[in-house]
Amino acid sequence: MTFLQAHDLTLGYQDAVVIDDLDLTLPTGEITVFVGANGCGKSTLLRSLARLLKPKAGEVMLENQSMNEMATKDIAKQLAILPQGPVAPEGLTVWQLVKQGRYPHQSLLQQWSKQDEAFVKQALKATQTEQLADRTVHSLSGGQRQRVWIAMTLAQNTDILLLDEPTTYLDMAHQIEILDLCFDLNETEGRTVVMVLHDLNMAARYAHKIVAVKDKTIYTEGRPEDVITSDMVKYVFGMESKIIDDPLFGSPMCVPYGKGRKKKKPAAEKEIAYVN
Amino acid sequence: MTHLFSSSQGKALGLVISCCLLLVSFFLSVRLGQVSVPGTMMIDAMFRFDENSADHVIIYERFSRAVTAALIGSSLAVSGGLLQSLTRNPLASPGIFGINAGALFFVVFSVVFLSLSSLPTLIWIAFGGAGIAAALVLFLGLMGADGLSPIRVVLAGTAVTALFTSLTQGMLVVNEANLDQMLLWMAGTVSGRTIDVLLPVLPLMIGALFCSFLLAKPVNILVSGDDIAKGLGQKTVVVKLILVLIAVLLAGGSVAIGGMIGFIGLIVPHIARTLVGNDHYWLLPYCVSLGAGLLILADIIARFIISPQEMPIGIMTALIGAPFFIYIARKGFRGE
Amino acid sequence: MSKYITIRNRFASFRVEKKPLAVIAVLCIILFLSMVLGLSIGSTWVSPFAVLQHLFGAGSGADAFIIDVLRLPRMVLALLVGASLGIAGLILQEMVRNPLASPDIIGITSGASVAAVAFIALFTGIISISVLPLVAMMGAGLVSLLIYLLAWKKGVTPIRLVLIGIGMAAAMDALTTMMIVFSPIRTASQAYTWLTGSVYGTTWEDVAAMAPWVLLLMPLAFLCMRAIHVQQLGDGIAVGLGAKIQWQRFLMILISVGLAGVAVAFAGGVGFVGLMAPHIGRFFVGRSFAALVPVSALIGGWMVVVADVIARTAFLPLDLPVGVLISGIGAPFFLYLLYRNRHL
Repeated sequence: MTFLQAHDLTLGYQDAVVIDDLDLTLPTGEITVFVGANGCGKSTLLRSLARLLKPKAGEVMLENQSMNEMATKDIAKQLAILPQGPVAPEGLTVWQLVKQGRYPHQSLLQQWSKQDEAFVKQALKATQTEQLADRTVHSLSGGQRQRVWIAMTLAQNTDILLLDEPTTYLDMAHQIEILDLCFDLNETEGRTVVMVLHDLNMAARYAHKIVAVKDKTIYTEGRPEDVITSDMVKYVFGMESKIIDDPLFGSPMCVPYGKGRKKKKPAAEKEIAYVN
Repeated sequence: MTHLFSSSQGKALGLVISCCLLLVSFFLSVRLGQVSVPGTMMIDAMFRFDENSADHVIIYERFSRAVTAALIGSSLAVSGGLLQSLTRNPLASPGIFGINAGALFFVVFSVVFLSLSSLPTLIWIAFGGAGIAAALVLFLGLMGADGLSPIRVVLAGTAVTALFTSLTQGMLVVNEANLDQMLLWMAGTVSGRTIDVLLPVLPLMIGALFCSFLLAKPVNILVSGDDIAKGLGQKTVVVKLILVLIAVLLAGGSVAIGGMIGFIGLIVPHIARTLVGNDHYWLLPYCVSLGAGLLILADIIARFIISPQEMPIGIMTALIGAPFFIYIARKGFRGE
Repeated sequence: MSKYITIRNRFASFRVEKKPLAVIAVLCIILFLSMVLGLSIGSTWVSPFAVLQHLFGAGSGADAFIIDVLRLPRMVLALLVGASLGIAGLILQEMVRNPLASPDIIGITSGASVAAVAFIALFTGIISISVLPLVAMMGAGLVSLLIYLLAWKKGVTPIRLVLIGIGMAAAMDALTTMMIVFSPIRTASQAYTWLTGSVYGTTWEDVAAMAPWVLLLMPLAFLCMRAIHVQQLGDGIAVGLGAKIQWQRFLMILISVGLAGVAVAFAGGVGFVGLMAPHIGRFFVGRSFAALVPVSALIGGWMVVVADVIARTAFLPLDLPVGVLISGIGAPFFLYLLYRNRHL
């Protein structure tokens, strides 16, 4: 299995440094989720892990080899990335889109091998989008569209899958659908999945490992049960909260204090007073 | 974004300075040329004009020319500034909106087929042509699903320009005799425009300039976005229509008088913006003074750069303006 | 029955759609018929059958001069010009991900124009006019290179390329206008006709000079196919899939500059074919780039051939520059496209 590491990584745009001297090892065959406040650099970090952004300093290692020294096509055979909010050209069909996932495996003469066909079909099946194959991407709903884009990255047939906010703009049901899909990909096929998610509770439920990004570096990383505490939420997101157990799975669940329409329960009142 | 002048006093002071520069360049424009005239002679000509004095005639011509340049420069600058704000596109300018090519087409058509040649008539025809072209571009640019994408407007303008240009080319290729006559107009010029020729359009354009100042407040709101402007109770469609009307009046009048003078409408608003920011109360007066000053200066340079011949001023402005345009495109801008 | 033909062996595997093959066949027939008819009409009528007989070597020889010297070279050049512009426009449109891009918009035409007009204005009578195509092509190449370099800022983005192209085109056009204004009326008129685009007076030498370029560059256009399909998904995804986008972009620009440059060099500022042909092609064969290359070439070639036949015959005794007719039809079509694509 391929594994992914970052050494002394410094990232930024022009003169601004977004991530400073960061080290990270991503567990192979597990789901890792990056969390953090808006603009903390978690997307930037993910993009650099997929060589979409060149590091200012440091390097990303894929299987003991620095990505800087690898041919971009060889990277694409081991690692797939779905950036945030991709847009398909008008008129492109689902089949044509998913087919593009085979790009790194094709060549000038080998443009449509049996393997290509098999992997495209398998990707459509895994994402349950077979029946959409001939429709245009634009005619699909948000959830379907996201599944089709994931199908494209699956057709790439890589061990590692990087997804940047795959659930943004989706309603709750579709969010669960996408995350369940990622779960299955990890569980049944053993793929390494790395995601950026905004929803801390979803992250806690699906991730084997949480990486909390704050102040240009990693604030804490580890199993959700270990790292998601009210202190961590307070520091990373700047918000008071109470951590309880998810009633279904027992994973940590973060309930923000804030205000509410109903009167607070007396016990909560006491807790808040204590914290303040 | 930081501006050179951030306080109101600073902005006012800057405006005074730019007006002073305008006056100086105006003075130089009358004074310099193939024949330099002394300042005393200018005062003399102003108060005791003598038709028989060659110097006085030169002064009258140069004075007219400077007034023309000032009028065109300020009109194009304000027109460009308004159109840039309307489309929220820093690349918008009267030229890019197809106004020039539209005006040119109708003028050439009238010259070739209707044998019209009186300047006042052609000025009105150019007005009409400019309006038609602008209406086409805005129709195509404004109706996109996303409201207005910069590239759409630019491309729509390019297309309208190409359409009118090709039709103009067709007419001129067939009527070679008219080509020579139209070339100077195509290259832009402010020479030979005397005050009495300007008189019919002068009130219209000055009126439009005045109206543009009244638009400062609604435009300030409009630039924050259609939805926000509507939310604040603005009738955005009406504001936009008035704005376009004024911009077309100004640009159409300019192209009618001076031909294809490009890029003033693009550069000057940008210079003004870097000086005073996006508040149209200040932006538009700056456009007026800087636009007028710059075109007068370009006109003075055009007189000397290939002396004894004169460079058409439209070419002068394009050659100064294009590098600036490329600089903006490289730097990137809002909406990208 | 499958919509595709799949070819697979040890060395290669492809999938070809059947429908475009039919479209290409039909277009070839239409083009051939148009050319035969175009060779027939003119100030002297030659019957289509006589033309056919002549083309297949069985003619009486009576019309040889009219066909071989006056009409055929001109028509073949028109065909090559149209085909080159069609492909050049297609590559640019697909690369920029904007259906409104074309070789004129990114300054290839204006670069060639400035060089050609400078040549006409400064060197007419000093250096042989036969060097003009070479000069024009160098102009196109230089200006395109300049645009590319100016658009480069840690890579080239399509929008920056287009915008800088527009800016450069404006500067070049100013220079062109300046030279025309300061030239004597004869020269001005000659330069103006060149700018409009014309294939008047083509000889077989011109055709022989242009054909190798086209035959070399056209097959290269197919090489862009994979790059184009993957870049259409956006830079992030293309990089993620392992595409070397900057390198691919450079090659694509090179190929389209070569094609458009050679077309402009021999025919002058023929506009809008590069814009129109790919769009008409999309009506027939959809978005598949592999099919669009031959289809755009055929449609582009057909358009210039037909426009030139009209330009040559409709206004007799005038022989209009073909560019007037193409732009006159082309620009409204462009506007219609904008209107049609308003919900993009």
